[in-house]
Amino acid sequence: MPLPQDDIELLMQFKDPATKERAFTAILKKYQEKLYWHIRRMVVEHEDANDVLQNMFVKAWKGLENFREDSQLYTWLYRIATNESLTFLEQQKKRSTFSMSDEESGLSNKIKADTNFDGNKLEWKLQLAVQKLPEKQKAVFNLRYFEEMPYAQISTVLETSEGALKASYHHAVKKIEHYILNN
Amino acid sequence: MNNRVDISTEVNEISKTLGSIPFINVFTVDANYFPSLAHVTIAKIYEEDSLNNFSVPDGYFESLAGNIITKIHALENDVAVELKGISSLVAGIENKETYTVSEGYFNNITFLNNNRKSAKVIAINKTRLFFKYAAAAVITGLLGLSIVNIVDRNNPQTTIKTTVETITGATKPNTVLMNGSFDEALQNVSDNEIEQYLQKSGHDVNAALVASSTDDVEKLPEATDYLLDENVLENYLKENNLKN
Repeated sequence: MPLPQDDIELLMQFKDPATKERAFTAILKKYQEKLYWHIRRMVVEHEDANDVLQNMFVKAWKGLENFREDSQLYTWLYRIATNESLTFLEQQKKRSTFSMSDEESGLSNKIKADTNFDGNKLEWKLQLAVQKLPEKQKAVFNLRYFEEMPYAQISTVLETSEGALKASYHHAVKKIEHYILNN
Repeated sequence: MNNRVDISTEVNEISKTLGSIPFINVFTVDANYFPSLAHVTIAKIYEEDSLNNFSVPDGYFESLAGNIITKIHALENDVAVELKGISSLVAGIENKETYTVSEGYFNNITFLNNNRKSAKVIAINKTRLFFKYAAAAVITGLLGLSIVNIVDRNNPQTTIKTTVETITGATKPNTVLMNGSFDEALQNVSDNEIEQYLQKSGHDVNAALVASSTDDVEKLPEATDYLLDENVLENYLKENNLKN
């Protein structure tokens, strides 16, 4: 799938030192919100999401020079964002005094600490259920359910086959259903 | 929008429960967050860039390991560095030779003549080392006539007489005994004669020499010394000029 024309132009401008910063700012503004929410649903807290997002864009700045254009720019950005989120969660797990099984309750507690949290509302229960999923499965569900990303693009982001992704998504939905029905 | 419909349909097929949940973003963010995000992120990018923006000469990292190893070896062999680590005061003293020699000394130097007469060495029976001290004491008694316990109680005069005659070659042993001139008589006996007598009778010559050399028993090596060092007797003889 060819790159959108505006993405092609932005990449060309990025490679020119005179226009590099302006092009990157444009890329930033184009994709920042989508990438932010994807990261936020992974790490829950705004401060953590902000840190991960900025780290992700710093890496994008360094790596964009070598971007091969064999995938969509936003798919490439999503891959960096997902990897940074998973790395962050892994580091949190190592630093946490809680056991691995309690890591989910750590994120669940952060959701419940949100000023707008309402445990009676299904959308909040959905978020609590999502935090119970294994990290990579959570990324699959979020990219499909919330980002509405095609399986082919999710496959590029997560470097996993479409068949495996479909199976993983199916199991994720079933787990969430089970949680909601029992809580 | 088509995507949303597709996603909802897919979820409904898997779980009607999940399909019934309204698609609402429960998370919120400050209204000023996104407008300022690009500016803040670019600033962070340049901050990180400036930390890593130092240049190094070409080939620096390729040769770095080798240079460090060379410096380490130099430090290890550097006497001056070592000395400074021990005492900066001593290290501060100029390393200058203070002694002098006459001109041409090393050109004219001659070595001492190594042709010496080989000394007569009487082999020490090493298996008898332990008994040397005891043998010396016995011989002292015989030569000096200071111990009378060897006397045959049945024929005391005969034993002493025989011993004196044998040692001194005196024909009138009684005369010697009566006159108390044993030592005087002994002066007429040569070292060779004494040595031959001792060897013939199986006595330890070295022990006898030790015994004859001293009146003061305290100067003799201790019995335990013989156990610790087999060269004790030989060293003692050399020290007291009893051995050539």
